[in-house]
Amino acid sequence: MAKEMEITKEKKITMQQVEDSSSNSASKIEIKDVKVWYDDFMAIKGIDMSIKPNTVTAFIGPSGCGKSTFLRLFNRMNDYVDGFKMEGKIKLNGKNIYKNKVNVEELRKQVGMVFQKPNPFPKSIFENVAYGLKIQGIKDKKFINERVEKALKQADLWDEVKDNLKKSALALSGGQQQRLCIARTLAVEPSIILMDEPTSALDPISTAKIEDLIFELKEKYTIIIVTHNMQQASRISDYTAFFYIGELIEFDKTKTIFTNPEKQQTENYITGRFG
Amino acid sequence: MNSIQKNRLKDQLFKIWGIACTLLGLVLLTVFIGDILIDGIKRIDWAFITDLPSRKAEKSGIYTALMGSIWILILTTLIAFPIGVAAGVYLEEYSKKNRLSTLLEINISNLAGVPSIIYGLLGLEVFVRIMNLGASVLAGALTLSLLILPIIIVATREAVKAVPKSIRDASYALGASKWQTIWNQIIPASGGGILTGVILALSRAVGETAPLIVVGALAYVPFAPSNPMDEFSVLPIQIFNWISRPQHGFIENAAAAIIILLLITFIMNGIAVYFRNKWQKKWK
Repeated sequence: MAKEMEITKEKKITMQQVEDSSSNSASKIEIKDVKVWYDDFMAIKGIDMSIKPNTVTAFIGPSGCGKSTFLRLFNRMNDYVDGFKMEGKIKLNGKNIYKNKVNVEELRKQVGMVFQKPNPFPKSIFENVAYGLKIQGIKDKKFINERVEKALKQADLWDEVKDNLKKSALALSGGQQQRLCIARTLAVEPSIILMDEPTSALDPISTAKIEDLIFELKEKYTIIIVTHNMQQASRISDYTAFFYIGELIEFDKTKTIFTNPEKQQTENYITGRFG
Repeated sequence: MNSIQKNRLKDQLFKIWGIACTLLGLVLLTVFIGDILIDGIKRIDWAFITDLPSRKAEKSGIYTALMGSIWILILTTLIAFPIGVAAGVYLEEYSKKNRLSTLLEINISNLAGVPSIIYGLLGLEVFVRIMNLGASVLAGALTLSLLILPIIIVATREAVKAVPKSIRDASYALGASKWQTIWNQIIPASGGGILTGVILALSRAVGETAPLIVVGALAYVPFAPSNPMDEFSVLPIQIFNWISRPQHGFIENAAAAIIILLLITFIMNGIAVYFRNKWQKKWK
């Protein structure tokens, strides 16, 4: 199993199927009996779930419950973690992304990610958004300019930065930086966007903007968001998954989870009685 | 005296002690430089720089030694820079964290502390004798490269380590390969630190004497080297040679050559500081 995890250079087979179906049509994800270890510590204890296209799914649960680890499985970001081991299958549009032949770089073009703290590159705004295209070897300036503009518009940042595209991204405010990171992700045109507590470092106004954005992006993308904020989960998500110590306790329509959860544990958590 | 006053007094005492310690180094350096300047400044003119060494002090110049130093500097840079940076990046980004890498790490740190004369002996055996390069500029540069490699590797690792993980995450998440991430993000972001380390290491190499004496650099070379296989001398050896002569004229020559050597290392260190500040600004 550990061998399968090696990120080898030979993985040349592109995810053709994924690509064909991906151009702006969202993807579905199926997870089958996934287990994760960090050395001897079992972080994910066997999870099955399936995520529908064009939905927003919220992952909630107390810190250390494995929801971030679980999220990072979908774009194989855990591959770089020392001692990481994984069993089970994660299928993106029917293709197991943990198969040996999968090209991890290609996968990540399909599955974008926005992180907890805004992490723009110490480069210009334009270069930040164009980076994903540049590393694909795209040199057509007109094409890149169009994509950058489109992505910045989608991320609702264009009007604020259109006259200063050459300015350093680090000069932007925290909320603007996070929208820039979203734009950067969108420029690659993924079909899935993973968000790991994207608003936890932001003020309420910036948070509201990002939430509006997520609502709009749902039309084109499948979005999975990890959040500690119950109101946020209930506001923006269609489905909610509650994790506890490496297990998926409950997964249902957000409305059901928040009004009529099946498990006592879930109810305790969302009403703030523990966690 | 109550305890607050006592603490204040201690505070003051330590401050004074600290200032004294700081000044000690500076004062000694100033006295040394002043002394050298008095002895040597009047000896410095264009002819001193362009003249070949001679038996007569007033006719002697540093041309061959200066050219030797420049040759050594350039060759050492060409050899040590790519190897050291590549090794540093490898150790930080690629090598798995296990016993072997820890062992490598400790050894590299230890190598940085090995006396330079030992490197000289190694150079003599490996480069001069086994590789049959003779007492050439190339053998000298290879020896000095060995000497400064650990410094460059450690500096590179520190600089690479200082690049936040979030930057790597962002790059990988956009579909960049490891190499693309290193080339487009990590090297530019750590470039200032790497360059600073390399320049400081090189300025140390320029001042080294012992290993080059062992390798066979000569005190008297009639011509500046014209290719990497030529015999050579360097400024510190020239200084060493002059200072050990009885005539007063040579003492003046040595002082003048020291001024030139110090100037070179100061300029190099200045460049290093400049790069560091420039990069730091970019990151804030």
